[in-house]
Amino acid sequence: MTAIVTFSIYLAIVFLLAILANRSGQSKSFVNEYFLGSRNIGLWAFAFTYAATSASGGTFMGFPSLIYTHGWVLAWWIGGYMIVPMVALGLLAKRINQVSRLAGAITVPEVLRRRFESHSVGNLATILLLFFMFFFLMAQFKAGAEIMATLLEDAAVYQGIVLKLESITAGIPWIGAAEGDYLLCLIIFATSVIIYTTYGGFRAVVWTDVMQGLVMLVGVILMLVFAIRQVDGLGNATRQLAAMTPPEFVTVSLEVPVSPDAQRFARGRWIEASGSGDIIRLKSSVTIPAGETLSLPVEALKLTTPAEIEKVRARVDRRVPVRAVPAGETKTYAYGAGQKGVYTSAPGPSADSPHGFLSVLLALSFFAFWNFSGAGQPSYMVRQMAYRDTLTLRRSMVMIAFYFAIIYFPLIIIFTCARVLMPGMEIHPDRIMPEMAAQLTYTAGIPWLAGFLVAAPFAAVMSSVDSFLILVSSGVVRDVYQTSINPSATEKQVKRLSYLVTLVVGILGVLAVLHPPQFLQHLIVFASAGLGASFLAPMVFALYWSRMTSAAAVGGMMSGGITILLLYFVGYLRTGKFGEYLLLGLHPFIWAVLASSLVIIGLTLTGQRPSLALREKFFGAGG
Amino acid sequence: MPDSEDKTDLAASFRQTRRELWVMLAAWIVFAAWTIGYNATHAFTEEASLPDPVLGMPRWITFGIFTPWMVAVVLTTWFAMRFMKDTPLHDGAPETEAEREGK
Repeated sequence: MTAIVTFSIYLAIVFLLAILANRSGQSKSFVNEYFLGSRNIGLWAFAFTYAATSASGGTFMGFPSLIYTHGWVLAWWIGGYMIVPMVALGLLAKRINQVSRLAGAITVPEVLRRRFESHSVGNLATILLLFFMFFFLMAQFKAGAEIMATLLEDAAVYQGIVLKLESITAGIPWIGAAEGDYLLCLIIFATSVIIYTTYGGFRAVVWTDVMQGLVMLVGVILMLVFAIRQVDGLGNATRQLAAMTPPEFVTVSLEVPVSPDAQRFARGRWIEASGSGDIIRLKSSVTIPAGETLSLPVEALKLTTPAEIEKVRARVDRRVPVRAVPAGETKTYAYGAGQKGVYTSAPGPSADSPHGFLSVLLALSFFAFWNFSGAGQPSYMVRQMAYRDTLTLRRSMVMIAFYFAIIYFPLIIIFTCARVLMPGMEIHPDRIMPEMAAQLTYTAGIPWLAGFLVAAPFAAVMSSVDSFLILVSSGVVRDVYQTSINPSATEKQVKRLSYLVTLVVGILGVLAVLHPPQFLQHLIVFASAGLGASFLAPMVFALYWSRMTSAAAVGGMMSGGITILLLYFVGYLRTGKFGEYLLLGLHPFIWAVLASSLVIIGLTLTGQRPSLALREKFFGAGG
Repeated sequence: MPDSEDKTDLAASFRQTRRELWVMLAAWIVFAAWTIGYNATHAFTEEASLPDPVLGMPRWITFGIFTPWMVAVVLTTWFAMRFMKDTPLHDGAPETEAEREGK
């Protein structure tokens, strides 16, 4: 309960900042203030809004779940972040700020539209931005709901509301099929973010990002200290990891003595298997009807490491006598099953791929992906258009470099420790972060702090959702309505439409994410790859190559976006699951950027050189 | 439209930004080569899977990820504070239809 109070205080501060931001911006031009903070973002605000937007739900939910599932190899997977502040900001920040000011542009599509004096370029950029950004929103909404569900799950009031909600939504198609706890948390989370974003605009987003960035920083440092202490030193954790073998996935039926009442066994419950002495953990809840003794088959996880089995044996609840009997096939990891050392070496264990989690080529792909896809994200580009001067940029680069080092590397340490402290979380890996926060603070005897630690990933998710909402809303209002439908719209009309679009997009996001895929990180990587592939090469060439033509910009965006979609579609056809196809072992992002760059170069060299006036406007004397 | 002095300034700042771009790309190549090269030869070996931590981490993580990460932070600081130059950002065109029409 104390954790919920701490968490509520955090939310109250977020709303307070939104109100202050709204008041602060009232005397300024609405579009410029609402979408770009009047281009006056200073050092702390710029550094933290950039860093906090980068550290999204993926960082605090998806990434920890991957570390937990695959071990130390994730340090290599994320290693590209070591140079992200230099590359991502060095590549575009100066030029995009300069060009957007010269063009009088407020949004990313508008920069491209005015740089090429072409509506086709701007319209295509808007369509691609809205399409891929929506997947990002879905992932963040899911992450926010998951965190909240973990925080609230033990509260009696909350359980009562969940049951009530389930009874209300039971007959409604699509919505009724969602789990009640998830649905309730999704609604609370989405409503909070939509309200403060709609009310406060870009400035509120930036201010809350600063606060959220600080919360993340302190949260990670505290978790790091607790985690290392509770595993008796990092070296000890690494040694224990080296002795671990991946779990197995089994199908069992639960056997109980006959009872006049129905018996329910919650997801996550530890149960002793019949005869063998194995310990299994339920992947979903099971109800055995009154008078029956055997449940329908249910999936469960079976531990295979002796030290882990001993650790959880005490957690088996023996108040109701229940046994698990085999009711289907056992599925072992495709790579790493029964193999010690897989969690401390490459390629890392994998449930699906016989080649393991990370090959050398894939590691190279991700080293490029984090840097260049990051640079190509419109949510970062728009921040780079908002800083005050180049001194702010240079100092921010240093701050972000330290910030990333303090956030990303410790996360790897914390969640390798989580493997040691919390066995069996493979049943729901996306919840490892809030579960770990609760575990660490409970063990340390300060459970109220869990609310603050959980606020860190929640802050990350919120700071990303608000950025994307603003970006999508600006795409519709500025790039569609003001440009193509009503160029002479009054400020009042624009203001109302901006509020309305933010609200509608938020609601659509909630509906779309009622049944999300298991791993958040898949959605995030897809959306990042799509945005990076569509915008990176066209924007880089647009800013550095005066000769580039509008046809090349259109071709570059289309070829990048289509390549990503195509390689994900092939991935789906080959595996039946949402995921990418690694052509020659490389991530689709690499192929998409290559395709996009080649198309741009080809179309520019064969097209007509833009006018001298246009070139001189953005590149200076001589064009 | 910038006047001729502005155009000259803009061209100079563009050239400086382009120089920074090349240094940044070179740095990316160096760090990519370090982490990918080192780990490709050390992370897949039997030694990598043995419990032989350095600073609490597997040896290949310490020398293939942690060390270059620390060096990258130092390099980024140098790049931002020493190599990058301040340049004017050139406020230019009006941002709204109303501003363009002089309202």
